Amino acid sequence: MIEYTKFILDNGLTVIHHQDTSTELCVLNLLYKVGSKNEEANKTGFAHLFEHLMFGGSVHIPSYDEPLQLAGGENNAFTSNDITNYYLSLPANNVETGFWLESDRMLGLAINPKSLRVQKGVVIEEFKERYLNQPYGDIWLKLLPLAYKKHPYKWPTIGKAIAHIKQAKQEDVNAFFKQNYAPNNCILVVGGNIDLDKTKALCNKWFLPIPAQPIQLHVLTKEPTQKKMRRKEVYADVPANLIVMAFHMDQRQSKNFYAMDLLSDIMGSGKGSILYQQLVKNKTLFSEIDAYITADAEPGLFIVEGRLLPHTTFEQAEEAIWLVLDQIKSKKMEEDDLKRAQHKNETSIRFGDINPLNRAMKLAYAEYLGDVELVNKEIDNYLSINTQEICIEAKKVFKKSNCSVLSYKKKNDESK
Amino acid sequence: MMSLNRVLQPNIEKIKSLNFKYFEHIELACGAPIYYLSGGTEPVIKFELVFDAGKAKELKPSVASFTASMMNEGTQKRSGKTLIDDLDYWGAHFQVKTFNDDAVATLYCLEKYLDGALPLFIEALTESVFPEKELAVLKRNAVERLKINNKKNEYICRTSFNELIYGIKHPLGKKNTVENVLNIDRNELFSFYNDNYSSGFKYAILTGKFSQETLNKTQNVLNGSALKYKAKKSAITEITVQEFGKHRVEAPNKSQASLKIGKIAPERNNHLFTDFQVLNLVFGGFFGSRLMKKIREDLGLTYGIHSYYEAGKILNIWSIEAEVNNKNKELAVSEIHKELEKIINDAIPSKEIEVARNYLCGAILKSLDNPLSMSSRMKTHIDYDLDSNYMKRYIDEIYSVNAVSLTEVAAKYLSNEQLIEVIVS
Repeated sequence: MIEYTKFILDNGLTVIHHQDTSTELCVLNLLYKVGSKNEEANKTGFAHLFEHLMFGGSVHIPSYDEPLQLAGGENNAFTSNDITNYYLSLPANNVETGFWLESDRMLGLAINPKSLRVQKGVVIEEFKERYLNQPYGDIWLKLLPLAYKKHPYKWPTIGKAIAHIKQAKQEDVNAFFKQNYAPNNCILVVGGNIDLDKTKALCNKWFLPIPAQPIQLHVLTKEPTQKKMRRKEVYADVPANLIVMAFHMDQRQSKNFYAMDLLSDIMGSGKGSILYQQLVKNKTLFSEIDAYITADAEPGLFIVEGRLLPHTTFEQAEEAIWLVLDQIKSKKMEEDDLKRAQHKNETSIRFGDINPLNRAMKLAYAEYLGDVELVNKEIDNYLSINTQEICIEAKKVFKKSNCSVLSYKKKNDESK
Repeated sequence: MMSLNRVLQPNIEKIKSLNFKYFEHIELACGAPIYYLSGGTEPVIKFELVFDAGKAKELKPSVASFTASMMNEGTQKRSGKTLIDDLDYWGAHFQVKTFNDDAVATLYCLEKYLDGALPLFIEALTESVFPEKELAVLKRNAVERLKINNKKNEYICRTSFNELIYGIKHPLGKKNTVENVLNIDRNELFSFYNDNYSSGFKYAILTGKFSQETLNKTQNVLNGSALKYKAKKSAITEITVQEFGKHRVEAPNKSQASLKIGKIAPERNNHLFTDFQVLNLVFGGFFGSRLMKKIREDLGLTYGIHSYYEAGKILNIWSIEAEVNNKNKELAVSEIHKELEKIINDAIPSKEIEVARNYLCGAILKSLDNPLSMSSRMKTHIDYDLDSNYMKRYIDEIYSVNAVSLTEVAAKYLSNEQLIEVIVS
């Protein structure tokens, strides 16, 4: 049970306080409700580039990192399709430095041409390191525009292309800050060894004076229902062929989300899973195979991804996966299979909660989804799913007309 | 109301207390110690058994790690699939991980299911049968993984560096090949298992949040098991490094260059160790380091550049690693060398030392923010015979590091002499 107190400052900042006296640390987590889905189609990768710029100095503080390190603190941030999340931890007796730093960069940035130029360079190297300089690194660059035609999930967080990052201008940066970075577009979690009175006092001192801003309303284009199967082939210098099958599924807050999440565990998590047992061990078609969900806030994807053994053709691979999917749709699932997935899930949720920073992030994300109490309901939400519900949902999702297949081929196989 | 001063940093203090408790221990009937600590907020269990079965002991590449993997693959009573299903039922899983110096078998589960999971974990470790059929699957998949790794600049860079520093004949230096994997023999693995696992474990660590009753029950289950105690430490083979200097390797991927530059570092128990830690931080050990500021934040040539210290029973290694812009790799390398010269020749400003040491103290606190991570601190204490006051002394030492001592340590350990430089591009 994660205990917390939630309150909202007059400027619209949502604050969640979560005390844990078993640690000597304090943590601050700031979730800004802006992610790559809020970008314009011709300026992708911007939310993430912006995350980098948030470390380039703010109105009153020339460098973000150094004062934090001086206070014994550590920080990082990530950008997803939905949000940009900043977090820091520091010794509890120095927590005020965290409030000072975060409130100043919420107030305003001091981005100069050099920091913009350098961070563009850094992000371009990140693009290469994670997406181009890795075998199969560009899967998402290829898969997302196949699975999504209208919804902004069609580009990855890093952006569609390096060119978009190169084009970013100072005025874009300023506009983006104004539209998205304000107390009324943020959720602050204060966690660790700090009491509620101190949290309130520090919030009032540092955050309350920051005025609310008119926040740009993002109306996202809904992804139309997929009507027929989509296919794409790509060739790259990789050692083995790979197949990815993506299916549209229900949104994060629906009951079906939990059903499909459990099904992805039953199908593809670990050596006991159905896909591993049937297709890696028994039929020896794949060297690795996995099933997982993208778990975004809006309707996301159920993915089956497998690496083919050298003797396996794409036709065999795909047929074998469909066979497994058809079994799941038609046969009643073993109660024990579900129970195992639910128990494993409970363990992983509990282990995920062991450190205060993770708990803070979870609280912020649950609040973003619309219900902070979700942090304490998740285990029951998973336990409440029955085999019948999984089967019904699987029938809805695992349809050819709802499927996008990416065949990722070894370059020297181009002739075939 | 007083106006708010946003320019001035709020007052900062030294860290006031360290919540590290040296673990208690009990002894099993066989004489093996179980170190334990209960704390934190979640009812979880992490139970580790440490074996003298590290990579350093293998005669052929992959034997240690394959042996470790095979313990998931079936026992006298259960097939691999049944073993995993039965563990899954309790929401539990275990892994046996091979490190250079030892191997650690770890069980993860909730306290309420430990009764169900612990006997399965012990069965897997003591009654493993190494079926040929499962080995064939592991080998096939390992070959595919190795092919992928061989396409990664970073993997090639690290393995080339190890080959140079440990030598091509040493278990920690030998590169793995597809042929090696294909030639792995079941009997070879089984004898590694008999010699290094069945012969006994060195010690156990139990952490998480649990009751005295859980501890007692664990002790009883272990006492009733076939697990043995192996107190004797294995001998360490000394090695001499010969392949110093610059090495260029052809890269499979040309979008970035991968580099690793490093050399032998002081031992964990050396009296200069704390200075060396702070020095490493200043140089490349954290986000605010000189390397990050220069190569990333000033020149924008990389997403990240870091220097590391890796303690080991055979060698202690210090090295710099980065993936850099391929076109400007020479610039990156020459800037790294300039930074090395600078840190040896110029006194480090006191502000820079203060930032690094405060950061280090904070990072230590963070590494102690839950019982699970405390167990890795405890493991270091056991492996390096550190006493129960060590952490307190270490913090005091960090606060007393100064520019003079750092310069001495830099001259001694970061000089160009006997430096190994690998660039994959």
